[in-house]
Amino acid sequence: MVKINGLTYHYSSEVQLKFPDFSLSKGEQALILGQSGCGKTTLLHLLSGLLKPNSGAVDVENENISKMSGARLDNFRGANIGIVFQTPHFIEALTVKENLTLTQTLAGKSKNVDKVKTLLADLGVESKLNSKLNALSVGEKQRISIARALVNSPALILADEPTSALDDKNCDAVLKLVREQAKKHNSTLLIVTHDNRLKDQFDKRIEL
Amino acid sequence: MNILRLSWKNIMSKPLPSLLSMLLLAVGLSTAIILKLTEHQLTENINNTGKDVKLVVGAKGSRLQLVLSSVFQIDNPTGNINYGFYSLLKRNRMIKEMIPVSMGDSYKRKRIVGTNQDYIRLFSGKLKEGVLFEKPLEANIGSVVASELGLKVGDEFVGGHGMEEVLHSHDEYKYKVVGVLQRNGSVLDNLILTPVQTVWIMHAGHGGDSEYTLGAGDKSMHAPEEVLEDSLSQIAKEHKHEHHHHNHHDHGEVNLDSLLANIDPKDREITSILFPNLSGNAKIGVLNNANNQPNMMAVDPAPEIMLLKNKLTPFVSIIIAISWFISIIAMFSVFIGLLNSLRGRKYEIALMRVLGASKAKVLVSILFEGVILSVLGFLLCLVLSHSGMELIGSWMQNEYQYEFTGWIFLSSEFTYLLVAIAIGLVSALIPAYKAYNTDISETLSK
Repeated sequence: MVKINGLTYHYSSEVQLKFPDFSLSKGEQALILGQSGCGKTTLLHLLSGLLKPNSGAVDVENENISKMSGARLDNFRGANIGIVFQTPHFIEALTVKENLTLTQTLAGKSKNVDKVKTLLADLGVESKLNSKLNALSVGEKQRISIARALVNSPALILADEPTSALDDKNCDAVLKLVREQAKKHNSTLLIVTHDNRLKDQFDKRIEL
Repeated sequence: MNILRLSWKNIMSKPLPSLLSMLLLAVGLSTAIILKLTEHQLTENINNTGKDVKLVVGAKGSRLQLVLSSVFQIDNPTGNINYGFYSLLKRNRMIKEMIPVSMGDSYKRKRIVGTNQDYIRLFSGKLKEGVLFEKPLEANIGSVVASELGLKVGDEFVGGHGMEEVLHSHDEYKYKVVGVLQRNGSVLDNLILTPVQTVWIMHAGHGGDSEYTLGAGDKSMHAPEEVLEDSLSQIAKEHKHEHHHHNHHDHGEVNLDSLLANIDPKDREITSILFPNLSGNAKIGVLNNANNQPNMMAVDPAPEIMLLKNKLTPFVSIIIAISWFISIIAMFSVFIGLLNSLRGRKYEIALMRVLGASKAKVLVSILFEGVILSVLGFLLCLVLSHSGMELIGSWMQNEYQYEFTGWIFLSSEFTYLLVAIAIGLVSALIPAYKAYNTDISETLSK
């Protein structure tokens, strides 16, 4: 389902990153651990096709996304990969509902408000459906961004330090939600973090 | 949620900068449209009013002034000529139609024109109520005169000497409204029309031409004696005829006919003569005849109007330049507005790409923002320009005898929609290209 093989990325001749090979089966949940600056975010960008590797291949759903380009790659990413960012960002001009339905249409899927409502209810933020984003707390925003990553039921969910900005209580809650929802949608989940609070909760860990 | 709606929402989320851009664009385009509307209506009025008058004969002076005063009712008359010349030409069978025009009096700032019924036909006037004037002191009034001054058939009023300010009123005789004309957008709407004889009666006993001469103060002229002799006897005959004709109508205390008959032919004056349907030899004949008189001239209105239009061209060019200038500033305003808004939305652009939007889609969404702003600016401009025109129109009506309205729409206005869209597109080009080239990975890593 997700497989990386001989992956390297060069920022410059001095900064060359080499990533260990690994693969995840469908529905599997894993952690990528490493200290700041070891290339965690770079790996995540390589996995989602935002960056092109200098060598090696990234396979998602048996497609080598390192070879894809242009609109085809954008489309594939939108439909198959959901990303939860460290700091949640949204289109500020839109409401929660509009942000999520935009995510559906940008991925080439039809608008489905019922699905949006169900997701928000699962994440405990159903009352925020018509709120503007700037009216929400950080914790609420992070839940909405999880909802956004899940709204197209992607094959792969990538989360970049999803808990580092949260306190212990919210950290546990958010992690639980992500894992539950990934399971519910039968999505493969890969969390990139240096947050040691998560360490013991995953069987599969990849160290950079 | 499609891209167009997203662009719309992005604009609406920043109402003030968006409004500023729209307003600038609207003001720039409005200037151009108001100019177009004015030009259109002015040209239409000039053409409608001037097209049927082939020649004007009046007192020597400014040629343009004679045309403006006698045909367009804008300027002051150049002076007066003797009615004898009119009577003389009347006997020329080559001249089919001629209309005397006598000006100088007014009632509440509305011009009183002494003429004949042909004048009403010249401007395709039709009666709304009442009958056409026939006898002295009878008057037909234009629709604007009727509505503004509240006059109706049967009303009487006292006219005054002078066209802007009444120097003294002719209170011995009253005008009587016998007919109201339909509104037709011509000079008739703003005029009070009466037989030429009314003017003579009003001025009888006021000492003739020195009192009557207006504006430039030209001395009224008298045709040379030898030309006049014939025509004077002709007038005398005409008036005898009128005397008999009207005698049984008059029951009033004043016998107008005997009064008229007592007016010295030298005091029978008119301002000018209009010649519709005059061409070829007849036109040349009148031209020569009039220009040979010491204090008379004949003017073809068409070249004079052309000259006037040419004189206006530089002013029109300046206004066009100003409207372009404002539009270009508007373009920069849209450009800077978009650039500013995008700077804050860099992350959002990257986000759209992560969510599956292609580079092209992002490009289009920004171009849409420029186009939406410009279309809204155009709509605002329609409101501004037409209500502005209506406002200017009511002011201009006091200056000219024409009505300008803001409630007409020209098909050429839609060219300005295209101009607006072009401005929107051009100003969005660079911001859109920047968004197109956003480095997603780098933006998201910050």
